[in-house]
Amino acid sequence: MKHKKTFLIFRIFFNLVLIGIFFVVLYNLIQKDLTLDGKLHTSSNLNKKNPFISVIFPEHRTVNHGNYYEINDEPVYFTVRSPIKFDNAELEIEFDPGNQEAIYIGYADNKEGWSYRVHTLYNITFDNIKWDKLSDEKNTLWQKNKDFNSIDEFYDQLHQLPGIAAHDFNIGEHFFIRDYKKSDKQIEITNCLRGEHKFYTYIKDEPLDFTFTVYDINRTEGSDHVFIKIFDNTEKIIYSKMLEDNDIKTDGANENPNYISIFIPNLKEGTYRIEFLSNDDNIIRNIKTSQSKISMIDRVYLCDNPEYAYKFFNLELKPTELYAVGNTISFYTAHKNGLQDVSINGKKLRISEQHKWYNFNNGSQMAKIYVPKNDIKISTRGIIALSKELYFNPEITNLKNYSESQDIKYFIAQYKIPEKTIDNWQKNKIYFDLEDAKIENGNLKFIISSPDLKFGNETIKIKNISIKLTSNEKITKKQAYKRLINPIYENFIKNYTELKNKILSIWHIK
Amino acid sequence: MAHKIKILILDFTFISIFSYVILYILEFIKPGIVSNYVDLNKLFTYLLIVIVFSAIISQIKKVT
Repeated sequence: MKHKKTFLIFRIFFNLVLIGIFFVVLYNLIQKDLTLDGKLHTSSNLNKKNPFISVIFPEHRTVNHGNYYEINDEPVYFTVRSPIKFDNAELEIEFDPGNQEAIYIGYADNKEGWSYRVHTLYNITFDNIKWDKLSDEKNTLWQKNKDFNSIDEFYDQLHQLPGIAAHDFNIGEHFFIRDYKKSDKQIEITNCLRGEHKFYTYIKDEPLDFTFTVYDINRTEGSDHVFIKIFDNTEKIIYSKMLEDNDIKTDGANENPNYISIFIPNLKEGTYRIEFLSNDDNIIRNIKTSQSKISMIDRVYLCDNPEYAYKFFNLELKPTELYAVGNTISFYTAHKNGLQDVSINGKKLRISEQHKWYNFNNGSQMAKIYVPKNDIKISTRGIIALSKELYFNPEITNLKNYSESQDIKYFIAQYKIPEKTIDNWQKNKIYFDLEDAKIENGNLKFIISSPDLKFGNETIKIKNISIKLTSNEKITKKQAYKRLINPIYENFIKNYTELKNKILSIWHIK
Repeated sequence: MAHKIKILILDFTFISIFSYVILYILEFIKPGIVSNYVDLNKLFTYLLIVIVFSAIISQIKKVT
């Protein structure tokens, strides 16, 4: 009897210890989740599982070397646990950019679809700007002449200064061309352009007046619809039109052109973006416009080439000269007729293989490109124009990348030049405002993007990720527990009510 | 003595099952609260081992 009593006491004690251990674990998990001080600071060297920072994925774009990740394609992602809604993030990454021009980091935001708010982690062009520079915690100012001794002095005079270019920094105004004069006569662009193209044009005291002559060459199966959209400088759509194509055959070019005429009067002064959205079966054979400034955005596909020598095209088959700004300019041809030597600022680049991208490192200068045979796609992150007279760059108030221009006297960017570490890696910090950050399954999702990774066999390396999340809201323990329990309680009530109604409806009880 | 050890093992098994269920429900309600620290799949495997072991132990006297 005595033994039984002793064993019972021991058994109760044993069970209490086990239950006690469980509740201690539970309490700690909940405490970590509450984040009562509104701060979360964690870092990961990526070689072992971290409860807050995931590994870099997807797997097929990365190689795990144990103490660092090698990334050979982009984009890649990682997640950070967000137990509460944080307002700000300070992200520090240790990396090796290899030969990449730029690396961007961003977070998934609440906009529909695949949408990320990105900032620049690394940009070799910015790092190589020779001007005097000033910086604060988040931003760097490069000034052609040393007009300011501190970045705060610059901020004070920001809105009165001419010649400011900005990258990822809101200078609060739109682009204007000083002393702009509208053209007295119509301009005709007779270069043959294939497929999708996007243009900037500038308007002041004139209507927006464009006529596109478009042919459908029907080389690929399926419909060849054309969409034209025009945006003002606040991204508002002011014009939209669709040209339907019901001919899905691939039996050769349609010799009857489509004329798309656009005339919009009474527009405010400023830059307008025209998007000609189409597949490569549609050719812009001619553009007539009253505007005197037209630049193409990021890409042009020249087709003045025997590859497209339809009689009714009346191609001139002459070389094309273009002007472009963009750090890397890439060339691609799909046909034998497009194999040629192109010249960029007098330097030759041989395009000797079809279906291959050839990259030219242009740096920050303006490039004069000579294309003798056309039938080539030219791609850059910047602006391309068919003549110096037509060229203008409205992106200087929101530059994707820096390019020299005599108009620019100051360049401000939300960017800090990375610091070099002992083992020749680089380290940089980025600040995020998480107001519209999307939290999915309790996690923030971040993207790492280096667009040029798609074009070659280069890689970038990531070693350490450290993040500080802060919330501006200070709450008490009671409020924190309430915040944790309320959704559970509400969920329970909702499910209970649904279940009760289901059961009642099955048994037809009112 | 063997009987007492069996009882303690059974107690341990029941408490483990109860703990796992609570952690699973917590993870379901707030994803990441458990899984960021503990691999629930591994934990389930260990739990199965404990259950199987406990089942074997409880059958030993009957067999012998």
